[in-house]
Amino acid sequence: MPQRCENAMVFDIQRASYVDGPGLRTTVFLKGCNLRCRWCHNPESQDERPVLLRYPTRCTHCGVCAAHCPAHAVSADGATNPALCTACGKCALYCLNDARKLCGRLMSAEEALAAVLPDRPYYDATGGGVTVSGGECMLHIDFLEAFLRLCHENGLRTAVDTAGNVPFSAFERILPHADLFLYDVKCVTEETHIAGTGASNRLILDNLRRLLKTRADSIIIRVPVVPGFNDNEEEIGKIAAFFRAHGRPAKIELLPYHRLGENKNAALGREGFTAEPPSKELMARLNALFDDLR
Amino acid sequence: MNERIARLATYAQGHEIYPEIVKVDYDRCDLFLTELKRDTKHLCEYMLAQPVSLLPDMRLTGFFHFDGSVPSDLFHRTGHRHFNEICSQFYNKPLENLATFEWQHSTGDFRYAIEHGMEGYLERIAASKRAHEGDERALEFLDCEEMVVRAIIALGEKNAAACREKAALTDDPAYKRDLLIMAETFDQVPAHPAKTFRQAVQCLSMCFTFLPDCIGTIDRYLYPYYRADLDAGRLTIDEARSLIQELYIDIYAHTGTNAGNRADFSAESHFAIGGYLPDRTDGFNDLSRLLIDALMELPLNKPQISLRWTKKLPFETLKYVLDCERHDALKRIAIVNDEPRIKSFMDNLGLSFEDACGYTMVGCNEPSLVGGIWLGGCTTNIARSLSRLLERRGELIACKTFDEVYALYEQCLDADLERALEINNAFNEYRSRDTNTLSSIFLDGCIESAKSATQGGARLAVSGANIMGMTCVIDSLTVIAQFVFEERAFTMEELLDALDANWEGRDFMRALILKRAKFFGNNDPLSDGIARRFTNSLHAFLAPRRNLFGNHLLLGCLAGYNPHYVYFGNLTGATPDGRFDGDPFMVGAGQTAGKDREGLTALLNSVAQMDESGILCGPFVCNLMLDEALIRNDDHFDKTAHMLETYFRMGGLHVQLNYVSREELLAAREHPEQYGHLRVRVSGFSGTFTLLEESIQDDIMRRTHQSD
Repeated sequence: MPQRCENAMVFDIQRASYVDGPGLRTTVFLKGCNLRCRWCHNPESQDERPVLLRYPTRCTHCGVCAAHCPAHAVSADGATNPALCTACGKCALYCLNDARKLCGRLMSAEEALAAVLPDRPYYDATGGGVTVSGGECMLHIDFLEAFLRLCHENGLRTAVDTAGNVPFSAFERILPHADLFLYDVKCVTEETHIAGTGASNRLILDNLRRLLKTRADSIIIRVPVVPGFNDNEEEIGKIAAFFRAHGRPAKIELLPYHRLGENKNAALGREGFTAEPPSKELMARLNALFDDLR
Repeated sequence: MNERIARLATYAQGHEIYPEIVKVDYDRCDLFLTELKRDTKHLCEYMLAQPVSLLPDMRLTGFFHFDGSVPSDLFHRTGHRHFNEICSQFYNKPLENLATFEWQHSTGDFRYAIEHGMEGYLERIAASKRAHEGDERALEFLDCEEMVVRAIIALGEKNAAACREKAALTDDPAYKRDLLIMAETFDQVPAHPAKTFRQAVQCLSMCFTFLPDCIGTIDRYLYPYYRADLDAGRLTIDEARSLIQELYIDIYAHTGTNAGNRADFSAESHFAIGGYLPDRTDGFNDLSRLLIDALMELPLNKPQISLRWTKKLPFETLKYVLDCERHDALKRIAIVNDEPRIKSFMDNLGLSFEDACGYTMVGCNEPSLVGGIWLGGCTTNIARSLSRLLERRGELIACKTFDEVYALYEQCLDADLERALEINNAFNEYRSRDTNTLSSIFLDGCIESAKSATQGGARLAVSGANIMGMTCVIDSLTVIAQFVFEERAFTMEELLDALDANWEGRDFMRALILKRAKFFGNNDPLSDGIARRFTNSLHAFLAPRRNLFGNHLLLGCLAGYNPHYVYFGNLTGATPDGRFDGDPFMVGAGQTAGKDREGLTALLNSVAQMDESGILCGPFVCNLMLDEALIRNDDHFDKTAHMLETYFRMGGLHVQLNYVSREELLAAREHPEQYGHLRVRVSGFSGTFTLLEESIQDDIMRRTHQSD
């Protein structure tokens, strides 16, 4: 069930985004996700709590972080005991070498609005606006509904970047205030989806079918092409077939896997996914599967 | 570009266009003349002694160089004894760590020369003589001006004769015909008003020799000739393009050769196209476009063009110019905004809209009114006022609020501006001991006031300074407001101690500042507000003041060729923005070294809204470094063009763009300390390259490589 929370944990606000929807946009990234995609390029967004990122290659083992840690979670060489760490961020504040970074802070819808308003002239000039992304931003449905409403009240166009793994009732709450959905579709085969993301895709595809009936014009589908997961004509072809059967969205974009997240896994102290990005030739072949839908 | 033009461009690069200088022996009885008459007589004799350059590929001629033996043009000021003296003492040599002597720029009113010919000047001189009856000094100056104008007329006749002579000797019928056209052109100009586009361009090319700084708003004053000749079938667009390209080549050769080792720089000859016309419509026309297209074909790094943007300029035109810009490896295009500048010229200089809208861009990036002069250009270390503030330790520590600190700062600022103005006046007083008779003809008001432009004769003159260290002042005050007063992270005393120690043993305080300060360029209300407060202080001081000639004052933040930001930085101690003792200041308006963390729109917002009064509407510069991905991909390019248009709509005054290549990225990884300013696209946003994780840097380098 979606959490009920007035404030949301924001892990980043990116201004001047060129890629999160039409025009120039500001993207608000919320923390917390109910999928665990192995290739996630924002792994720091999965946990809804603040997390501490560590970059050991920058660490000089000066011990300053340990001296400033109120929870005594950090040892002199910079190693952190996750059981004690409260992610308060003191160590990151005092780290001279940017070897530590705190990710996540609570914001109200009003605070988020204040952060996106200054770029309104750019949205107006380019047909851009505000995008809420994640994580899974729809898990923060109270915040999301309030924030999108505030955006609309202030004349800002909105987009919601979602993987869709939430009850349709959540969509119903934001439908009046979301001008555009950036909807991720990873694959149609349920077992493959479970293997790649840890969750079934039934809810995701059900929600999408319902949205396509009423809001097809305001849906941009984004398909990550991930090596070893769905980077073949059969799996991607099933996605094309899904849209042939259930309706054509405004746009379908295939996004080749990129490696920006690999280093972050290490910074989180996790074993990460690693792969070579798909070739241009493969992307061209997979894109061709959607020719009749564009 | 045709083959003839390509060959000419090659000659120009080899400095082969100009004739060899002929030395002149002067009559010893000239010593009986007054200094001014003697100098002017020698000037005229020198001009008439120079040979006519007639390389087979040339269709324009009439230009030559000065060798320093006579007082020449106002731009190079060779032969100006006092100018050379003060230059040797103060050029690039900071005085009191506050000011250095800099060049000046001016723009001849070549429109008048084209439309009225030298005979028009003779009439004006005669009228001024009548008005100055009984004033011996004025009459002597006007006699000299008359001598110069008559020498220019004689030069035209000499060129006509040389073309005829060469025509008689050639067997090639096409070339003979061209030479005879050149001769007929010189029968008309510069003595009489030009009647055709060709005559107008020839007149301009020749007169540029007498004030080789800026050709001004040529898409305005050449347009009637261009349009009329095209409509009458006397001219084709290709012919017009070739004439313009030959004009550019002559400009290149003139500045390139004379400026010696400066030839590698791309500035020094700059002009503007487009912008508001007196009837308040946008002036970008088909000639403006031809002027850009003609330049893009030439392999020469000058002249430079600035597009004057107005709210009425169609987006597609801006996009077209940006499209030229993104493909121009020689980086010859910048964009300036008419809206704040014309407003500032009206508010701060008291100009009418008609005068204000006639400005052009000159030199590196100075605005100059046509027929007017940007006088001074004296460069000022504005961060010295900050150093003076930090010296007032006891008073600072006693401050209970930031407002009290700012009031103290304003005292220091005013005192420094007062002293900088004294120095500026002293520089200008000294150079006013030279009289310039050659270029003054082309500067409006000199004939009427019977005064050399060096002595304040020009009607449209502006003085002022380029200020260095502006961002350092804004950021340092922000640090004090934020950490000492808002957050109370450390005390004023602790901060002053840290600065005295040049941050030694204060690594954490400095790291805290660098990481968390609300630096300028992040669209943060604190630093944006302090920036406005600072520019308002500048305005409050300068608005009621005039220089020694009674000219109004404007500021800019241009560094030009000379690294004043290094000179002054070297002499300035540690500052609260985290800067070490002796570190250089940043160049222009904006932010650097990764202190802007909020992306391009935030930076543009901060810059666009920093100057409510328009006091910085002098040579204001904003450099942006962009990832190539932002402009190579057409969809992204469209967004970038809209972004820049929005920046102008918000009041941004200037922008010049740089793109990042793979080579630079490699160098940045090797020497991150030198590349803190480098911003790159990461995945839909931009970030400071040197702060990114190595794997992301790798990815970006791959990407940049692919986009080449």
